[in-house]
Amino acid sequence: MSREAATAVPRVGAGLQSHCVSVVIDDRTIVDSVSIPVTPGRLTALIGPNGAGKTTLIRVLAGVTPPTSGSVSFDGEDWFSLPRRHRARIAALVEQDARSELPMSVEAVVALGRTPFRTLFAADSPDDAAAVRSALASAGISHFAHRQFDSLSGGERQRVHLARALAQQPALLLLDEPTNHLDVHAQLDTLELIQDLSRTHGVAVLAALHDLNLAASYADQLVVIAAGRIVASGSPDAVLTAELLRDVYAVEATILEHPATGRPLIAYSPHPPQRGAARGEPR
Amino acid sequence: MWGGLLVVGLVASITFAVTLGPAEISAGEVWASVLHHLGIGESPLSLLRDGIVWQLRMPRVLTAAAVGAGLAIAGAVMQALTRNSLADPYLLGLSSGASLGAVSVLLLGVTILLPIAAFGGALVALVLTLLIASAAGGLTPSRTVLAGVAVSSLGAALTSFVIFWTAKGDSYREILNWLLGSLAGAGWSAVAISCGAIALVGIPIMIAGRSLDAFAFGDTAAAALGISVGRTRWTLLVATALLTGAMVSVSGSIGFVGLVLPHAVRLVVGSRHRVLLPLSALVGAIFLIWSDTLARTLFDPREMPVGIITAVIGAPLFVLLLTRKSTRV
Repeated sequence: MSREAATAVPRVGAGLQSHCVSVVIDDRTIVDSVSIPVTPGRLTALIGPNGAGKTTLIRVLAGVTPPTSGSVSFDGEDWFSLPRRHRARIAALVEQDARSELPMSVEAVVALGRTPFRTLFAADSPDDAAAVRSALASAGISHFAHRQFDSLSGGERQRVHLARALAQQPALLLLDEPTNHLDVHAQLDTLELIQDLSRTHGVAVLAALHDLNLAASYADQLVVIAAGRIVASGSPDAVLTAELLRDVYAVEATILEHPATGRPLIAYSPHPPQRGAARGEPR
Repeated sequence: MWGGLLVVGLVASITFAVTLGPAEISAGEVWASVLHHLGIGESPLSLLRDGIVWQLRMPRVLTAAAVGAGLAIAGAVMQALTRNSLADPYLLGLSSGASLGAVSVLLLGVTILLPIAAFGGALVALVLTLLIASAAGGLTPSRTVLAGVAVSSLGAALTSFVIFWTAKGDSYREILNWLLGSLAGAGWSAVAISCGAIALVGIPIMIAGRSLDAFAFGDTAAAALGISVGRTRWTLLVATALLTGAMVSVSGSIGFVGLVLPHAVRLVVGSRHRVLLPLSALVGAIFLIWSDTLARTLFDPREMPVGIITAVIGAPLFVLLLTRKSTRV
């Protein structure tokens, strides 16, 4: 209960920490011995090629699927020995492009965020209603609270899912490619909202991102995974190098400096990298 | 608001449905008879008319209400669990298992065992479906539905075989009644079974079903909201099967009630199950009362299986809902 009151002030806990987490599905190692901190007040971007294991890792960190081996702790406690509902009061998950067949209003979707705080018998409490209202307002979607979810655009839907996560008043926010399928404006909007949550509300945020320039612009820390393993981590400046992009993504790129923010800015070179390369020969 | 209106609608429907039929009986007489049997006051009705109200029409109307409510609850829960708007209470092979049990008993001539045989058949079908699904590599919703399709086909084939091999003359009509769903001859024992199932299984489902909201965006989303996905799914699935089995055992497999009504209610009030489930139950009850009233009065003195009425109303309604939905999205 004190947790709800604590949302406004920056958190001081240790956040979430995974220790040598591995996930094996059907004899395939999807996540391989990953140790990663998700720190309060910071936005950590998880980057890596398709199939690197980002989604699986996020599910483990969100407390949805336990790892095959290794452990996860939250503020020093074993994450998976906390009751499931308790975990859901701490961590909110925003999945990639989540949709529903069922007709629901925006407000009803956001109210789902109150699920971990409700019992089956209890009526709707004023706390729940207040949390839903403030989540709608923080996400800037109060004006379409009564529209049908399936009538919204992709960017609007993403905002609704973020609002639903906010209604959970989480200490920990995990997002799986929150900017997928969004136009540029909506991408920046979404990341600014997430960044604001981590900075002003002290939420520990981990977001899997595909767009490296977005990650470089907004993240405090990058973690790069490939084939289930962490291959680099640290500040965007330190992590984003031409060598890393070549090794992990097999692309040639020049790392520039963003003229306005001073953050790394990646200029990709088209394939094949040199015009003089022999015709018909793969790169 | 909807709830209050529908409760009034249900009481009014029960009252007026009982007044309708070959013998003319007024609403006042219905209530006088009911109060008399509850031990309050004297019945002003003759013994014969009182018998028509209390022994013939009232139990049948109450059974219709309970069966309609039960099927609508079961349909709403199945649709949420499988995230499929085409799901209905019979999805897991329940109706074909029940039919096989019932038809076998009808042909053996021991009609007294019919509810037990139908319920047993439904349970056997459910267990078979779950076994096939888990043997096929895990109880996912889609695998469970496919296993249900297989069990349904098998049950239907066996039922046809039994009918083909042994049925003669009069038993056809009785079997047809049963396969299409009928409330003819429902007495107080049917009321006890169907209302008992609502009280013992239906109401707990309506309470536990509140957590179904969290399933709207899939299993992972539900788990991330703190729901024990596996436990919730299987508890509700088995409870829904029990409820459906009980309803099928008194009425046969009445189609479309569990498919169309929850769908329609959802479009009006949204997908919050604490609202959706009770309202679906009320709408289902009212719908089946009037369908059954039509079934027994429309071609008086001949009776139609009520399943024909629910299909004739339900199928076009279903098409309407589908087209409405596709234009909206």
